[in-house]
Amino acid sequence: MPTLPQAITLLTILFLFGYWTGIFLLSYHLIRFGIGTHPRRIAFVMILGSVLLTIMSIMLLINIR
Amino acid sequence: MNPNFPQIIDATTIEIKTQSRGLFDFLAHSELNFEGKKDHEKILVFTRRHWYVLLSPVIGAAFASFLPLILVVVGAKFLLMYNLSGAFTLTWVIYLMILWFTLFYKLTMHALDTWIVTDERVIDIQQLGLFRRKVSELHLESIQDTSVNTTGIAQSYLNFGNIEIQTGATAQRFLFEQVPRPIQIKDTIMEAAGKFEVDSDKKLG
Repeated sequence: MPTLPQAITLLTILFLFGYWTGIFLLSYHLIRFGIGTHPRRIAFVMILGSVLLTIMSIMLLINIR
Repeated sequence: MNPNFPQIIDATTIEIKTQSRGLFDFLAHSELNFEGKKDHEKILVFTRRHWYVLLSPVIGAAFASFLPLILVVVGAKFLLMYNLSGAFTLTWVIYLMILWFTLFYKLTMHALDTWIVTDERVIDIQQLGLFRRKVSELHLESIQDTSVNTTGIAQSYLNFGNIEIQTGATAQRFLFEQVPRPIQIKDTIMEAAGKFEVDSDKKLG
């Protein structure tokens, strides 16, 4: 039986995995099917924001008591 | 002006070829190419829906991102008493990630829904979901009639609306939804259709 911190860590990791799968799918569509630079710019901003949010969530997860 | 470079009506989507060779070159360099484009084919119009349609999801996401602040104000004592501030902040960040994803899902659908008018055909590309995509094509010779429909204050003031293209077939119709400068695009389509007809007649005889 996992403890509460272990369960929170596991759930966060599972969420991050699902989240990055979704981000990958969106980026793939934007780069593969997008016409012009506009879709690529959207993909760039989306990935940049996602990296920042992921770093924040990992840091919070490490520091959680 | 380079005569080979396509003339694009929609100013919001004008893409300019640059000579830069930087790390982020892929963001500046642009080629208005689409799958199945013929070498001699010239793009006359390339457009997406008007930015106004993105206003409500962007404002909604911005507003929703600050909603947990209400919980902070209401339950600050409770969070501190049970030492839950760390867990709460983590939940907030995860909530922000869900909002971020939802917002970019909508932006992706907006970016991938495009309408292209070339000197030979009209192409309607609709992204109906992540795994559902519809590409329709209409040859200029099939165009019989086009009409523009603008409804409401926003569409009239910001100059966007729907363009409906009627073909010879009774059931088939093409719809450009919420595109900017609809009258200008309609004129370009009709002009291109007329020119195409004249060119075809010349070739025949």
